Amino acid sequence: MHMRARVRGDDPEAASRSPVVIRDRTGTVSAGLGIDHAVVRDEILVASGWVIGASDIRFLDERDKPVQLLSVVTGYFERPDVSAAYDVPVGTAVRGFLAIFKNGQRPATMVTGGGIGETQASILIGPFYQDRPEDLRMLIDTHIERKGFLLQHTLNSKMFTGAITARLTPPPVSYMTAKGHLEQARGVVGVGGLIVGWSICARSAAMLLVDTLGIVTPLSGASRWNRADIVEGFSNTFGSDVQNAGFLQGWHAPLTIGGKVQLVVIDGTNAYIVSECQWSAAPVDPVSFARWSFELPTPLSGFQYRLEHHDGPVLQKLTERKNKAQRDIQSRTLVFGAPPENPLCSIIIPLYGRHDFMLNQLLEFSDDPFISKSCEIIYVVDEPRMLDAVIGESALLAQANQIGFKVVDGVVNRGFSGANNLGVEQAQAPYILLLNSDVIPIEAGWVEKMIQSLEENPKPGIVGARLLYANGSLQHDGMECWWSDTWGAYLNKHPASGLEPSAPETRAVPRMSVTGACMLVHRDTYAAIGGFFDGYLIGDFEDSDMCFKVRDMNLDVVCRQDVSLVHLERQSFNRIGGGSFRDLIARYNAWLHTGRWGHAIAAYQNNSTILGLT
Amino acid sequence: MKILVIAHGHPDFSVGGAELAAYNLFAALKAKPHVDEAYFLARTDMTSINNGAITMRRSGEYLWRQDMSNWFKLRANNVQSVHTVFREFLLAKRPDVIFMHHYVLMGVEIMREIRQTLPDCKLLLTLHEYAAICNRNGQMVKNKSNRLCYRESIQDCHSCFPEISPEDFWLRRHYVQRHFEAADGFVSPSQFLLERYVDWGIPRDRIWVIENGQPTFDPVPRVQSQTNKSARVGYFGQITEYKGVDVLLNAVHLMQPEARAKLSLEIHAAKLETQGSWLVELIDKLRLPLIAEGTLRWVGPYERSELHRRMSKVDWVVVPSIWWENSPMVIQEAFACGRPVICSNIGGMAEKVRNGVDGLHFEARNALDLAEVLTRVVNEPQLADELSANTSQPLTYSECADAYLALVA
Repeated sequence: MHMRARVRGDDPEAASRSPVVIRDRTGTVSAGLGIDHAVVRDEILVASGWVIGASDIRFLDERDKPVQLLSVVTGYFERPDVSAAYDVPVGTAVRGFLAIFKNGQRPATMVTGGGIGETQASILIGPFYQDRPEDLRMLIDTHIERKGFLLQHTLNSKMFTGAITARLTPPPVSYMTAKGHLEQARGVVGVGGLIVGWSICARSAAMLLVDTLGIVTPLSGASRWNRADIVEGFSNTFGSDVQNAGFLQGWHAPLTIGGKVQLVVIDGTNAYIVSECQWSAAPVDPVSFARWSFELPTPLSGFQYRLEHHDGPVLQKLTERKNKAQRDIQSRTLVFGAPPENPLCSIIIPLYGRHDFMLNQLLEFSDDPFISKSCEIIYVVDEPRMLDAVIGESALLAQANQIGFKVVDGVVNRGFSGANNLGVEQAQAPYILLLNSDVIPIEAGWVEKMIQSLEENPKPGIVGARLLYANGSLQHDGMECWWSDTWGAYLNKHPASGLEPSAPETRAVPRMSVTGACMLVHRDTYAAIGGFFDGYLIGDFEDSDMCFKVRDMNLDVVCRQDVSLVHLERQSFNRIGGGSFRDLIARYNAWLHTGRWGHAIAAYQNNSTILGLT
Repeated sequence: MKILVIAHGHPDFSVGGAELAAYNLFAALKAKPHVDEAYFLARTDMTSINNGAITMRRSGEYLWRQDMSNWFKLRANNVQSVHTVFREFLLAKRPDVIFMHHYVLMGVEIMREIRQTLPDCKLLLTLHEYAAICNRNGQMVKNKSNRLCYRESIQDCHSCFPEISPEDFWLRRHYVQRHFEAADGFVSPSQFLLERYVDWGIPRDRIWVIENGQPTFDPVPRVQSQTNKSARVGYFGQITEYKGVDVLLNAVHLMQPEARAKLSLEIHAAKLETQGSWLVELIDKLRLPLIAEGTLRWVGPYERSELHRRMSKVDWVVVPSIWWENSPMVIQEAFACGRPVICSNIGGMAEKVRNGVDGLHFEARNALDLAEVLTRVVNEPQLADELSANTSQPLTYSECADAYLALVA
């Protein structure tokens, strides 16, 4: 027997918010539906109410199609107040419900379950959709016992989450499902930050971080490490759950310094605040930030994941910010001696760490007629504290070597890419030769040869040079990439480095990439690719990055083996597995580089294998 | 022809072998008929002269207050003065030829300055020790271990000075060599030093040997001993840790008593007190017993004018240096006096003294070997006369000047 007592919107009664109660002939209540709240915040709709008689309820849209629920409290809960109000006979169930929807799928009607022998009732939900600020609070108050459920399913809504967590309390002393402590929350406004602490949680419960605005980050994705102190303190209580209690979690949402962040556990229908702390300021300089965050001892095997999800995005944003600010800082150019009027090539040399290499470089430059007559030498001071020494020395060196050159005062430390980019901005010549200060020419004529290679090439991109160590062995003859399983990234290598240099070819040799310690590029090309990418920390990969940018323009990268300069670098090898700060920085850079060019490297290696180049 | 001689010191203030060689070259050149003008410019550290200034010492002789602040790169302290005051001096004198003695204390930069300011001027650099090659006081003796060094390399130099990288040694060598390239040629007072510089990088066709000149004077007859000593051996010179006086004293201790009783050792030396206390203590410990027993006479410093008289009273001159030496002046002086020389068998000493002809060699740094040589000379008193007869008069100042002029003719 189906008795439908549906009330449609055109019925005057429909506008009311009265419940629907169906009685049988004896006047006894057999079915009923009532809605107490239907609160919409952000993209979430939470409806709560009660049902008499039926085993379940369904929500239908305007066309009587079922509406997808996000969740509904299973089993429902008792509503003695409704039983009393409608004098529901013993044996007829009266249950409350709490249902959660995506707001885009607002149900139009609610219908009691259509089981055999059940009286069906339906009610229009529309009239209950409310928009009073206090409704949210009232809804939460009503369901405070179900706060865990409510929170669990409204995490996408800041308003719900914020309002619910505001009502949360610490767990009772006897609570043994979860423990934790927030030790630091350090961030930069407009960028993000990291939250650090420890937590232990039984599998039945879940932990998350919530701030006062209701922004939620689940702790399930945190990078973790084992903490001996926690193992020692809690293994009696928590067993194996105490492993890997230490965590760090990136925060990529807005934050305010001084604002609160809370560690919350959701345990079934319950939820508690386990710990809380305040945001404090993190270093805004990316390297300083890394110096702090890389100290957090997550396992190296998970470093890549950690960069991907936690520190990486923060460091990238900090770097972008810093570089943007630095680009706006005015530089100043000083001229010593009389540089050539219409130079053919500008030689850009950043100075960082030490400047006494100028003594040797300028000696050699002055003995090279092409350089002294046709090249504009630009030193870029990338370390403010050495400025006076450089300027003092420059006047003497211009005299001693009777050579003209420029010194650009960058005012701040801009790093390898920033300093080079600044130098190129000042350059007047069509060709740009990027040179490290510790690269010393040993014979005249090398710049002409490199320019010749660029001019001869139908697809002129970058020309590199052969570099030797001080002991005469090969340092650089072009670069290759190799894949490191340990790092999960491509690394640069210098084939045959440390060995006797091979007999040089007198033509330009194609290479995947060449070192930025000495590379020639046309100024238009440099401008077209936007110069060096300045996202790497401290300096690494900029050169191969630039080569791939040039390759993207379908231009060639070649190396001149019959041009030898001495690069006063110490021979190094890639230390895989090290955990020093420099190693972690290198891992960061490798991660960034592989993210940008991994596909291009793979394609190149594929191609060159086919062509037999490797 | 106008000639300028540049030296790192003026013998009026600093009586070293190199300073004397330079000054006497200048003096001898002045007397040559083809030389219209000769000038002498000596570096000084006299504080009465303003830093960087050039002033007249006497007509034709000038002092330049200069110093070397960077001993690693052999760089002048007052570089500004090189390109201003020194340049003006060059332009005022406009010499056709410059004979430059040594580069220390002045800095290697002046060679490029000369080349740039006077492109047609001939520049010859006379080398005096190994400062350009070796950072260990130019001695080519290993740091700390004091072992003899046979050849520089950036890695070996780094081993001597671990705080300085091989790359920095590369920079040093290239910096110095680039400046050396400004010179037209080089003069070495010994073949040994020449070979070392050729190994290091000076092209063989741009370097020649010319002995340092010596004054000419009447032969000094040997004054016979008034004692029962059968051999009188004299040491003349400074005492530094490289001079081997401790080896000499040790050797005397190692002689058999009966042989030692026939030996008279005289040490004519200055400057012991200015040396490190460890050396003073060592020498004291060795010399006091020998003085007490009458074997050793500690004579003390001498003026150059007294040297020949002093040498007349010894049978042998001993040069026991533990480093290579270049062309020790005392060997030339001994030969000028007709005295045979007992010396270490290395470097400039071994080259200048022919073993068994005009002197005797002993194994450098080996006191036992020197003890045997000393025992031989007390047991064979006639040997001094025999070898003395073979000594030849060294090059005179005038002959030396002629050799220099021949290189620029």
